[in-house]
Amino acid sequence: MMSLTKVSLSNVVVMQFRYKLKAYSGVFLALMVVQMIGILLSILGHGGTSFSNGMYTVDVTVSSPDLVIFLTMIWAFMNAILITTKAYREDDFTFVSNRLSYNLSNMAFLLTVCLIGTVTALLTTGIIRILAYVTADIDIFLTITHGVTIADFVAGGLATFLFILLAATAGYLVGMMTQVNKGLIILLPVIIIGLNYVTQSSSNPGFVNMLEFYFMEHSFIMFSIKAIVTILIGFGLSIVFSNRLEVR
Amino acid sequence: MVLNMDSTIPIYVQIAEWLENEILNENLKVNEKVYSQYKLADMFTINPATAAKGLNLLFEEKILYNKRGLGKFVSTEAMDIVLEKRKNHKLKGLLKEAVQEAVRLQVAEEELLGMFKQILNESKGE
Amino acid sequence: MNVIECEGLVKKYGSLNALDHISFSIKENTITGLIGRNGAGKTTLLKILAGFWRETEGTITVFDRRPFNNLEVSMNSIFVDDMMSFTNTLNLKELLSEAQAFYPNWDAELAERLLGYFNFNPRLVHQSLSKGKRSTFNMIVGLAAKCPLTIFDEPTTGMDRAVRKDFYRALLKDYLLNPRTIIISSHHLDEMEDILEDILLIDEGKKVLQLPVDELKEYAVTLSGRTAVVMQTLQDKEVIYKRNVDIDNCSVVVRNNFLHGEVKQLGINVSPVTPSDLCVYLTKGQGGGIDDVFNKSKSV
Repeated sequence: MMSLTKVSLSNVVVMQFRYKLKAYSGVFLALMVVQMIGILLSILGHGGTSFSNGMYTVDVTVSSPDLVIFLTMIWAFMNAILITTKAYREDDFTFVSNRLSYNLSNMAFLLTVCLIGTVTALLTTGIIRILAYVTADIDIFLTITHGVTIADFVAGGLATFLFILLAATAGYLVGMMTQVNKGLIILLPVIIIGLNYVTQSSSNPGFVNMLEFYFMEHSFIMFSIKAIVTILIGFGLSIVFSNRLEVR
Repeated sequence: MVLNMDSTIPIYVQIAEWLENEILNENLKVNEKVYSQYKLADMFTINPATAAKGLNLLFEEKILYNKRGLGKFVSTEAMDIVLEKRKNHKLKGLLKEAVQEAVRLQVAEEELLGMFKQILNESKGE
Repeated sequence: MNVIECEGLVKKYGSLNALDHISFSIKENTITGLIGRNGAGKTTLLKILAGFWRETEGTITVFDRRPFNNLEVSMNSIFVDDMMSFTNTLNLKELLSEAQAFYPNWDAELAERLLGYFNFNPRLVHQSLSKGKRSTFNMIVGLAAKCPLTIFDEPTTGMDRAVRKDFYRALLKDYLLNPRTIIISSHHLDEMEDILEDILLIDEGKKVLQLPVDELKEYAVTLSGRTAVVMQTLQDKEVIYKRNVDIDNCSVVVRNNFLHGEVKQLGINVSPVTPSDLCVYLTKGQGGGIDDVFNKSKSV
């Protein structure tokens, strides 16, 4: 008889990861386009947006250096949703895969593209933009406006990476939940807005509060911990949700 | 060398008959190794299990014998057994069918024997 | 040794039982034909075997493991159907070399030769192929992977007769060189019955029978003749299917477990039933088949 081949999870994950780097090359093209748009818009000036539901109003003003990063986050979010779709999943299960290896290789892939996205985002905005970013009004973790040390720069880069990765995690979790149950496409926004409404009524500004949890964290260490824990929980939940998913 | 897949005769019986013909034609000689089930499967595009069944049929009739680990070989008395079998079973069966048809068509005995002799003479003349 | 053991397997979709307490086993290194009508549960069964779908009840083991979510089963089996999905960022040649990375027994030479034999342009992408060509490419992947368990679900969809013949021959030759467990579901039983060893016939999620093809060929016979005469011989026989040819004549398919001589003497014609026809008769639902549809419409 043909002897059975022993497998190790890590080997399969590595094979799937390599396959994805080649097969999902469209992701990098999208990144280039998105960042080009970001640069163009940045040159054109400041972008701002506000939305309201009658109870509260959120004003998001994106200063020029942030725009590229903000767009990169959207790109990461969309890509993460994209790779959870049936078409992408079926490509995986054409060859050797189980749900864990599928998820782990997706995460390795997202981690890699987010890292690339971060580096290119930082490069495109340039060091001056990073300085502007660090000293901007909506300061992420630094309040200092004078000289920026290397440590600050590295921390800035890391923070950018974590933000982009947070967006990817959110996208992946949302994508995977909707794959598990299509009803969640409707349920999810209802739950989020509902929760928001509840938190808001208890004298908090609601939705803004959730964003502030990350965006208004002044300590880099605290932010990192919050972000990493969130990412782990997000990916962990995705694995749990999709572990019973039927494929092909 | 194509089997009749639509025939009423099972494939493995056809395989056995084909091998018998090979023995009758002396394409397979006494103590010569016969094709393996895999070779037969490849030759006729059939499952090797079916081919093995055909070989086994001949083995049970002592037309072939086994050499452990080497395969199946033509036995010394193979030719006699095949001839005997063909005469007593196949030929008799064919004649029986012909007679039954003759009875159905109400062909008289003399007429039938006449037809038989005529066909016999025609075959000799060829 | 059995590669597949299946005991009381149930798969439910809502209240519908796609598989209804099905039990069977499949021996190592055999070619099994999975036969059944549309919607009999063939694909459901195969997808559970491949570990894609989850069983609702019962036990199923492939290589002594539960296939669902099992990486070892995935590594040692391949599931080929016409829905096989390949990225369109890689061309056919690149896809084959990707597959090679995944499957340890991958036969790159065979894949390359088959690609050439079937006149593929290696620079094309999978989505751009015609239906038949796509099936042919999928078949090449299935053969070259040389997985100990190779599953083909309707592999010949869209293939023309010549390619189907080539496929059966290629499958057999490759099986002779590398014996492995192969399951094929197909509507073309008559075309492929000769390369099969066993047949597993299912209907409405249940097993109807599992037999070697050779035995299936002798499983039943058709008795045809005057209705009155035929009917009188049926008492001790297991009737599978009955059809009236005209008012006086009928043909009846019965289990072939009696001596034909006595029946023949009554002037009844005894003829064999092909496995393909037999499978249709065995899986016919209640009623007299398509003829009844027309009979009823006449009477209305």
